[in-house]
Amino acid sequence: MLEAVDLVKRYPVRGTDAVVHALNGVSFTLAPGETLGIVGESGCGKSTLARVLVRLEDPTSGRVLLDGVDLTALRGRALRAHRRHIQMVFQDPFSSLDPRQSVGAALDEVLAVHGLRRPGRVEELLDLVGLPAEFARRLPHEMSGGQRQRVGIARALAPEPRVLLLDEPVSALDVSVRAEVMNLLAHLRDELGLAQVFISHDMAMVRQISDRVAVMYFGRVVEEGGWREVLTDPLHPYTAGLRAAVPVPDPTVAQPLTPTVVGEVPDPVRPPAGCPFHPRCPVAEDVCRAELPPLAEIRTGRRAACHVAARSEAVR
Amino acid sequence: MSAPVLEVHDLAVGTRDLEIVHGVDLVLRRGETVGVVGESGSGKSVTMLALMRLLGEPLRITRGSVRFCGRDLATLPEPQMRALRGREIAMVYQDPMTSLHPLIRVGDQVAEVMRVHGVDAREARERTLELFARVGIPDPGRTVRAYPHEFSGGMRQRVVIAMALALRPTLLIADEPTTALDVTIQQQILGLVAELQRELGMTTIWVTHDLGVVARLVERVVVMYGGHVVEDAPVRQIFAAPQHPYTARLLASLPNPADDARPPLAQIPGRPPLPTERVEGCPFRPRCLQARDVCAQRPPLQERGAGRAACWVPAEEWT
Repeated sequence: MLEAVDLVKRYPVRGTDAVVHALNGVSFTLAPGETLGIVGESGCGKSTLARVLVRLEDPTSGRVLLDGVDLTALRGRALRAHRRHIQMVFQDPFSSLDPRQSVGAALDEVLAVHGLRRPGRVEELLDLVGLPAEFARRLPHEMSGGQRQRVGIARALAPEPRVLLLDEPVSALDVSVRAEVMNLLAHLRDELGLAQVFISHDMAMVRQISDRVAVMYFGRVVEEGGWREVLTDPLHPYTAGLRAAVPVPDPTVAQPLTPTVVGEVPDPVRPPAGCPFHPRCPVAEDVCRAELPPLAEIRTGRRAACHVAARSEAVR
Repeated sequence: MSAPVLEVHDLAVGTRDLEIVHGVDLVLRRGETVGVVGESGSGKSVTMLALMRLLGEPLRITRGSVRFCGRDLATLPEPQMRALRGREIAMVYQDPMTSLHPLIRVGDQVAEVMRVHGVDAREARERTLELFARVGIPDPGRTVRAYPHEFSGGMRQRVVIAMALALRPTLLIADEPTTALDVTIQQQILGLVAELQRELGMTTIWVTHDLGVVARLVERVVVMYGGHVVEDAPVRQIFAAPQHPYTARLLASLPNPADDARPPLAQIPGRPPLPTERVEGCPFRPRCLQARDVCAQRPPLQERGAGRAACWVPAEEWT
């Protein structure tokens, strides 16, 4: 239903010829009712990807297709009509709400913009996210973090989208309220058949909700596949290192304190030659320093962009 | 067991008419690593600032004592407190820019910490180079001359750690030092501090909301909720047999990485009390499934297994 095709985004660095390589060719597909988890660290391009998908920004090249319609080619009224199908939920619900506007007024405004106003719709939306109707009169500061994020989700649902884009939706929340928002997202997917893109640096939350997982590094998807396969038996050395770096909340599990991924993300103005992960990779070879590995299906239903993994899979 | 480095007794923090930390008890022995866990508004950061006597107006210590190596920090005159900060107790914050001056070269800032405490200029310079190498900043001869903005977040935090360790403090207080960092960088920093701690025999307090960090790093866990210590126990007991219902519910709300069925997460209805809210009795009572009439009175920390918990209802009687 939703398809990203070879999305590239470059930003010029003001006053120089230099270019920031934010997205370097991202492709994926998303089916109705499916949740794609996108995991990666800062600078991997996951937030740029979200902005391009909702057309807050235009890609430098590449396309975003919704049911075969190229959203990146649409302008004006046609764009507005299609835009409502992909809605975004932000990390910090407080900063995305007007402090002086009641919840009801905020939802009503979105409904009006899309011509979807009808009696009782605000209460319906609140009910959908598990809030009582009286919340329509509340102001943002009169709610807890979890309740504000529920309102953020209700607002994203108001235009009746088919895809929800969730950019770190629980990262700013206290541990004890994360569970309720995660459960709500799973419920909405199952009840409404919504497709979701769940973007997060938190592997535990990505594991909890995703059907498929894409791992991003340096503006590219480096591994993609079913959640269980990617997270328990990673093919790409970055996925493996990232997974081992996440502290497990269980003191009986022996956990390495020696770094599993050394060094830092390369400078996006000067991408390294070959595989962008090679300067930090424990298994890099000469070919990795020279040639960019393509994201290829190296095991059934599993894609990875790694020369070494591709070779060892071929031997298997 | 070695002598306590730090003994906090009934420490309360507040303004003139509002108390936000309600009598914290905490004992740290030499070389021990303790995690202080809590959500926003639990009072964990304010308690740490109180230990360092760095509370901003209008907050102040309203009650209690903080004995550190034989002195009461709650009443120590400010000049002596200043001499002690950095030298005997050092602190690392979540945002390294809290501790770094944006317009001074990073090497000079580390050297300055030593200069203030009487190390001569040449030795301070040499030790700065050693410290940079020790905390894993590449090419110290060149990087000491960099400004903070030329560094990544992870490298800045390494500079702050170098500053904190410059005078080999007895006690290191690390307040969410890796929360703003990526997990691969967090892993590097956690490993670094664990190693330095072993090497220097430092006593360390880790303040965090991340139970994974706690499980990986600390020996003992202090759980705070609503400005109270609600549980204080060895890390294995905290995870295997929590003795306070809040600790138990918090752990239960985490996804279980071993369960492929991925059932819905256990929710804790309600929210933590705001610092401005006065809850009578146990602060967790409004959200607690085990609450009874007796919980209208504030429960003291009492012995539970190898630790202590502030709950009237023993875990064996929970439903």
